[in-house]
Amino acid sequence: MKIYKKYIYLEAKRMFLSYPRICLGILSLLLLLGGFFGICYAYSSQTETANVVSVGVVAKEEEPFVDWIISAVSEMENTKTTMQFQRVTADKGDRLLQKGELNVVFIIPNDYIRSIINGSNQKITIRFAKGQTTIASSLIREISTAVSSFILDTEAALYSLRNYYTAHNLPDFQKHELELNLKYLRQIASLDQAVNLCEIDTADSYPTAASYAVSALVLLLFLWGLACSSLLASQSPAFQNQLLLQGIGTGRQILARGISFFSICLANLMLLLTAGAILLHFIGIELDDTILENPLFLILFGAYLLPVLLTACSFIQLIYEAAGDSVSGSLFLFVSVLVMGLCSGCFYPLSYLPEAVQGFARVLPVYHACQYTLSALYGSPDWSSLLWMLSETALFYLTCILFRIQKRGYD
Amino acid sequence: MKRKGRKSIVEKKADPPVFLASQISKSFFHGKKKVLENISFDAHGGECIGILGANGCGKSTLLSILAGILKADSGSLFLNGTELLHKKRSQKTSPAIGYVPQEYPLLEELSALDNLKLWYADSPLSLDKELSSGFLAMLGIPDFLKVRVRQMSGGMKKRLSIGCAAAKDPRVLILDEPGAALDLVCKERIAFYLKNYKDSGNMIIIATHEEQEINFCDRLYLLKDGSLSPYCFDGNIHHLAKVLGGWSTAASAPE
Repeated sequence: MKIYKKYIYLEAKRMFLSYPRICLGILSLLLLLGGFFGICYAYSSQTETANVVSVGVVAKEEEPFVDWIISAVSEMENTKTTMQFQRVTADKGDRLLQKGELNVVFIIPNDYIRSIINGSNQKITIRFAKGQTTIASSLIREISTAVSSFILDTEAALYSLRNYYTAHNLPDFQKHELELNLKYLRQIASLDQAVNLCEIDTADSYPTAASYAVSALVLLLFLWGLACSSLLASQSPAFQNQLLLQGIGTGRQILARGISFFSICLANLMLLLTAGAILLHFIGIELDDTILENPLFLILFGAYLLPVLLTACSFIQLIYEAAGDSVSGSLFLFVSVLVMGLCSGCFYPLSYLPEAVQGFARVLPVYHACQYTLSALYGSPDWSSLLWMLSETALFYLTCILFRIQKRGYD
Repeated sequence: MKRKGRKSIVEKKADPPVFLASQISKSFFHGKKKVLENISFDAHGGECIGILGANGCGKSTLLSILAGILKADSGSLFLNGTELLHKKRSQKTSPAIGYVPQEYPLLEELSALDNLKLWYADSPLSLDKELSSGFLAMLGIPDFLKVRVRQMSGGMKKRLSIGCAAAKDPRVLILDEPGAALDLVCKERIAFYLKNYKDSGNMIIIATHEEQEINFCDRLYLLKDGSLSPYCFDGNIHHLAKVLGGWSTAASAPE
C-alpha cells in the first residue's frame, strides 16, 4: 500500500512539475475558445435581429378587429419583410415556441375590445422562448414603430372623415366608433401598459450569451489534455510490468493516473474561476438569475463543476490510453472534442441539427456537460445529465483498463 | 552485502536447486505460434545462468514468464519449493525476484531519487544506507541522483533500472540484455555489481549477446527453435554466432 500511495504522489508530482507549461497551454486554449465563441456570439446577435420573426396570434375567432389589425400590421413597410403572422391556439402556440418554429406569441384576451370600452383594459400577453430575448426586444421595437405609423395614418384618415362630415353637415352618427378606435390604437401604442411579457422554457431556453460561455468552458475542460499531452501518454510497458509485479494491477494504475490528473485539473479550475471572478468584478458584468450573483459563487460553481471535470478527465485519459503516444493522443483528442462540440449544439442550437444527430448528441458527454453546467449556472442542476456524466465516467475508466489489458495482451 | 548463514556455491550445488523451471511452454495467437516448448532448467544460490539465442527467439518471453509478468501455457516454476506460475500475481512472492527488462521501467519526468523512492517505499532496505555505502553506491547512482531520467544517458538509465529492480533485496535477479549499447565504464560498473550480488549467494539469470557477460555466467543455455539446451562456450564468438544463426564472418574461412 505504501508503494501505491507513493506512486500516486509521484504521478501528481510529475504533473505539477510541468505546471507552468500546462498553464501556458491552457491560457492559449482559453484565448482561442474565448475568441471563437465571442465572435460566434457577436455574429448570432446580428443575425437574430436580421432574421424574419414568426409571430403567432392567439385570439377568439369572433374577437373584432384581430384579423384586420394583423393584415394591417403585416403590410406595414417596416414589418412586412421582417415578420410573419399566423393565428394559432394557445396550446399550439406554446408547442411551436418550444420547437422554435415560432419566435413569439401574442395572446389577446377574450373580449379584449369590450374591456377597452368598459375601461377594465385587459392586457395582451406576449410569450417568447427564454433564449429569444434579442428577438423579443427587436420585436417590441418593430411593433412600436409599426403601430405608431399605423396610428398616424389612421388618425389622419379619421380626422379627414370627421372633417368631411362636418363640411357636409352630416349627422355625427359614427362619433362613438371613431373615439373607440382611437382609444384602442393608443392602448396598443403604449405597449408597456398594454402588454404582459412572459417567457416559457424550451429545449434551447437559456440566453445565448450563457450558452456560449458554458460551451466554451466545457470545451476548455475537455481540451485540457492538449496542454499536458506528454504527461498523459501511456507509461512504458516495462514500467507497467514493474508495477504489476509489485501488486499494483491495471485498474489501480489507471486510478492513480486519474487521481493525479484530476488533482492538477482541479488546481487549474480553481485558478480559472478565481481569474474569472476578478475579471467579472472589474468589468462589472451582472449575470441575472445565475448563481454568479451569489458572493460565494466561486465555491458554489466550482463544486457544481466537479462532475464535469471528472467526466472530462476520464474522457481525456481514455483517449490517450487508446492512442498510445502523446502526438496521436493530442490529435485524437482535438478531433473527438471538436466533433462532439459540433454534434452537441455547442456552436449553434441543437434544434438546428438533423434529428438523427440530435439523438446521437444525447449520448455524448459534452452535451450532458453543457446541459448540466448551464442548469447549474441558473441554480437548478439537471440531475439526469449528472447521472449520465457519472455513468459515462465509470464507462470511460473501465474502457481505459480494457484498452491497456488488450494492448499488453495479458493481465 | 553478503547474507549471513548462506552456504558456499560448492556446497549449494550438492543441494536441490533453489530455482527450478520445469516443462514451460508458451505460444501466441491461440497456439499458432509456439515460442517456448518444454523449457526446463535449474539454478542454485550464487550461480549465474546465461540464456543465449538469436534475436526474436523468445529469450525475453522466457524471462517475462520467469519474472511472473507473462503467464505460461503450461509448466511449473519453483522458488525455494514454492510454485509460482499457477498463483495469482498478487499471491506471488514477487519481492524474491527482481526483473530488469530491456526497456527502462522509469518515470521519465522525475529524478533518479524520485524513482528510487518509489521502489523503496515498501523495501526492507534503507535507501539512504544503500546510497551511501550499499549496492546503489556500487552502481554509481549517487553521481546522478538529482538528474531527471529524461536527461540521462543509456548507461545511467540501465544502472538506475538495476537499482530499482534490486530494491526489494531479491534472491533472484533476472536481466534482459543489460549490457546492450552501453560504454565500457558502465559495463564495468554493472559487472562489478553483479559479481558482488552473485557472491552474496544470490542467483542471476541473464539473457545476453555480450561476450563479457557470457564469460561471467557459470552455466549457459542456448534457446533455439523454442527449445533450451545446455551450451558450453569455448571462447570462440564466431562459433557461437554460427550455432545461433547458421552464419558468421568466420564461417567461410578455413579452419
